[in-house]
Amino acid sequence: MVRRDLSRLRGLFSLAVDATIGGSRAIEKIQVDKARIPFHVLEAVPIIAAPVKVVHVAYDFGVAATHASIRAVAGGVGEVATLVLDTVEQKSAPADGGDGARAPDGP
Amino acid sequence: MRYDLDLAIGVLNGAIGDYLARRKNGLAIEMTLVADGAPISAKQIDAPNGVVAVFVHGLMSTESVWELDDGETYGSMLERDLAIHPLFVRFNSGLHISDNGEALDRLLEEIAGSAHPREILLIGHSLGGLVIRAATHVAAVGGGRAWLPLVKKAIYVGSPHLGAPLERVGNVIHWGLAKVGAAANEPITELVASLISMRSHGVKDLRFGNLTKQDWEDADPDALLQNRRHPVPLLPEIRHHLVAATLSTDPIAAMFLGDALVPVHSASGRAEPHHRSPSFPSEHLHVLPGKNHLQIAHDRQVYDILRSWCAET
Repeated sequence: MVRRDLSRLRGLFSLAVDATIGGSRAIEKIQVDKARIPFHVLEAVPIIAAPVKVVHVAYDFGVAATHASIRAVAGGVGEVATLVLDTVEQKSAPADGGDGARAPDGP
Repeated sequence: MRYDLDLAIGVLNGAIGDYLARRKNGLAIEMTLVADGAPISAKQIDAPNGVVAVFVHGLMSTESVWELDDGETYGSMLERDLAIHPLFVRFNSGLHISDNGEALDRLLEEIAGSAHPREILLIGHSLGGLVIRAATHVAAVGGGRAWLPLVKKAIYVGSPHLGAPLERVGNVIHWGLAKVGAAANEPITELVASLISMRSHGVKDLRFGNLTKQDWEDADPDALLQNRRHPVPLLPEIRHHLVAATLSTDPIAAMFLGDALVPVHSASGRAEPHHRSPSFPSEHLHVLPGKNHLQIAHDRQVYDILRSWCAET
């Protein structure tokens, strides 16, 4: 039973990490895509085109760096959680060697 | 607490179970027999009368769906009234119905080999009924199964044999949003479309009631209302019993609403040629007015019908 619970906990952490990474990618795409239109409009004005391009690149870089950090932290937390669960599983292994199925009734 | 957790995991499996299985996530359920919430092996089955009833739950559900308010289940009542030993299956309802059918085929073969029953009754609620049909089809095509000749009756409770309109609506909404999002280059609309598209293979199979691998293989799962079903014949050796429900007692409203999720014509398998499905015989059909889709999995009136069918020789 302990093994099944640990497996589920591992799955929950994994799902949370996947959701964070997937969500971060989706939000990054929206932030970059949404900003593209006003930047393109401003970049069409000759006087301010050059500095706007710099700001645009800086903005895209900032968004990418922020989300890369979020994904790195999420991945790191996931790795640590896996390590902790591996340790707990190893320590609890002698106490619960079964696969979760009940032992047959009998003498 | 554990009961709620198991149910929550069952719901999660129904929603994104194919993803969980693909990622080998520990939350993905593997098909197993359960008793009192814990997995049991086929070797532990004790059916003194030699008759077992295998209960297969529906989408986003667990074996708890069969439980009435007083803690009884159709299984416990059949055991008490007719000495039929109940076996409850728990599985990942987000996988393709055909994949779950293959898993059920293997499980039933294990049961036949370990418990040596003289008769097996198959009872499925909602998607569970389709899994039963997929399993019998796989066994019939594959041949050589010990369990298949033991099955004399299959009972489908609110099973969408001709598909579920709600999933077809989901298909249309996703298709529309994806087209609009791509045409307008609108990232939020595209994101919403991709979130809708994340629903599991099990859910998408309910669009037209896919039963076989050929129904979905090499096909775009999000293609607009594309029925690729291959007709699966009803095995003549098995008596097919059907329970359908209608939310409303008004005949016109009942025709449109069905049991809120499955319309009567789908639950009763009244197929037209375009459904690409055999039509079910109507002599073993019960339509119950004033009941919803989930209710019929744990209802005294439904049990009385089930018991009378199970008692028939």
